[in-house]
Amino acid sequence: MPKKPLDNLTESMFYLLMAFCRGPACGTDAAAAVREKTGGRCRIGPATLYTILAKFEQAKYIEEIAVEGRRRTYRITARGRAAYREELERLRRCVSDAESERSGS
Amino acid sequence: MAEAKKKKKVLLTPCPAYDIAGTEGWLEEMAAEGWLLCKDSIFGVWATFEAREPGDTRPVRYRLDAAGEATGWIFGNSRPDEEKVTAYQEMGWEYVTFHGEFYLYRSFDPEAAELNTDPKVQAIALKDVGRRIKNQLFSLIFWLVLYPLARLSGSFWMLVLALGSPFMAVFSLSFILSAGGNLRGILHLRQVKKRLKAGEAILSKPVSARKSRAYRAWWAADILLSAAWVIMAFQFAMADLDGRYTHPLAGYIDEIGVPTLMTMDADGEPVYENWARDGEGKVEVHTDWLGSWYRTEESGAATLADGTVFSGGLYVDYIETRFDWMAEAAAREYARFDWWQNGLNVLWGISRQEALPLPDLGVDYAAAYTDIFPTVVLAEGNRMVRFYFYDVNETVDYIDLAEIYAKALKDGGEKGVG
Repeated sequence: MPKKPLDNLTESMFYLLMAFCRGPACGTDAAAAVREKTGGRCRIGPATLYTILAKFEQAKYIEEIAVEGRRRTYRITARGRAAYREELERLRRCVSDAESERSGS
Repeated sequence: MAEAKKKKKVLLTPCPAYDIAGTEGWLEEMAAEGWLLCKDSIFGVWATFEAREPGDTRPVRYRLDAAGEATGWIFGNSRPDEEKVTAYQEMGWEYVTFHGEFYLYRSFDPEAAELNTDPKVQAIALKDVGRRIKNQLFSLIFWLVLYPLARLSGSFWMLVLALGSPFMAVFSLSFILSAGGNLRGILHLRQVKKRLKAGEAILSKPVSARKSRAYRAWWAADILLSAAWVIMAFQFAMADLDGRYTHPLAGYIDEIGVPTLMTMDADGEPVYENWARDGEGKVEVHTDWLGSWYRTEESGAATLADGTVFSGGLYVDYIETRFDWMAEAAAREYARFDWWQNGLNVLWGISRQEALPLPDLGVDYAAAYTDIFPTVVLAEGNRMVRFYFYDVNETVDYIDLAEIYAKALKDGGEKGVG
């Protein structure tokens, strides 16, 4: 079986995919959306943002659809959505496991 | 009114570029002392700073960002692409210059998010830096070791004796320092990546005075040794081109302990061919602490003591080494060298190569083979000889000559034939 390009999504990666699920965006807008969504808890610095964008493009999770001046707009691909859903499901199971542990104690 | 020229100063960097925490810490320390790194300046083993505006005491953060591409003024990019520069600027980080495999940014805004907010993602970015340093190390090994050895068909001892032990010592030390620097970088980055993967962020910290002194000393030694071996190699090439290693053979007959065409001739005056490169009887000599290497290439006719005439060519390499094991190692190397050198000719079918039988000559090492002409390699004690010849009159065969050369190696006296 071929190895998946990105085995584990970090929190920043997960939130960025979530931002791209809303619709096409440029990197800085996606980072701003993450900050807004998390109430400032998850801030994505520029180096982290651009490393993730490069990795996502390489893994074909996002694709560039427009370049306006110095601004590149990306949209999520089917593979990116699948990775997002997979991570979401994993997190749900984590929460569910934690909750069942709490109710049992 | 023209802006007043700012005061500048140039300092040697206290650590290599891959020491992210050290570099950032040093630059922040300099900023706290009133000095900012000049934008788009050369930032390598030295850095240029300019004085801050009077009263400017804003805290400054410097951060190195893995470039992810080749950086440089000529063979790489000196800045990231403008989209990135603008986006970083919008997020509070201005581009300063490049440093090694990194782009350097700084921020005067304490509210700006850190450049790297996810250590695991930073570890991914650093993987590329590690790969580039590994590639530099492989290039160094390839161009300074493997390629020269391959070009010389593995003739290491011949190279050592030709270039001399001072050159080899300087070159080896320089190579060890350069390769060691790369290796240290690879190991350092491996440690940093490990900590980042564990979720630990890189914290800027100034380099200690001891580490800084050690790095500057290493760097100075590396530069000086590299320059020294380049100059020595150039001088060797120039001397070789000028023929400063080539001398009349007559003056070296006593030093060369094996027969040459000149000593084979009963009168010591063979008739050299006019077309031959060393028609007048020349010898190429390289002397060194480790040993002496003599090469004669004679073509012509020598009248032997019994009146027969050897007519053809006799090509002799004679080496005396400081240590016995070196002579045998050099002899084995010659046999290997000929085998490789002649390999392509054999493949193309223009030559054949096969081992020739030899009787027991009572020497440490003996080998004979055809390498276009019959070739014999012998080693005894601290001396070795490799000779090949052709004789249109067929007055001698290779076994006769091998016996004479073996005897000469053993007692160092007899140099004539017949």
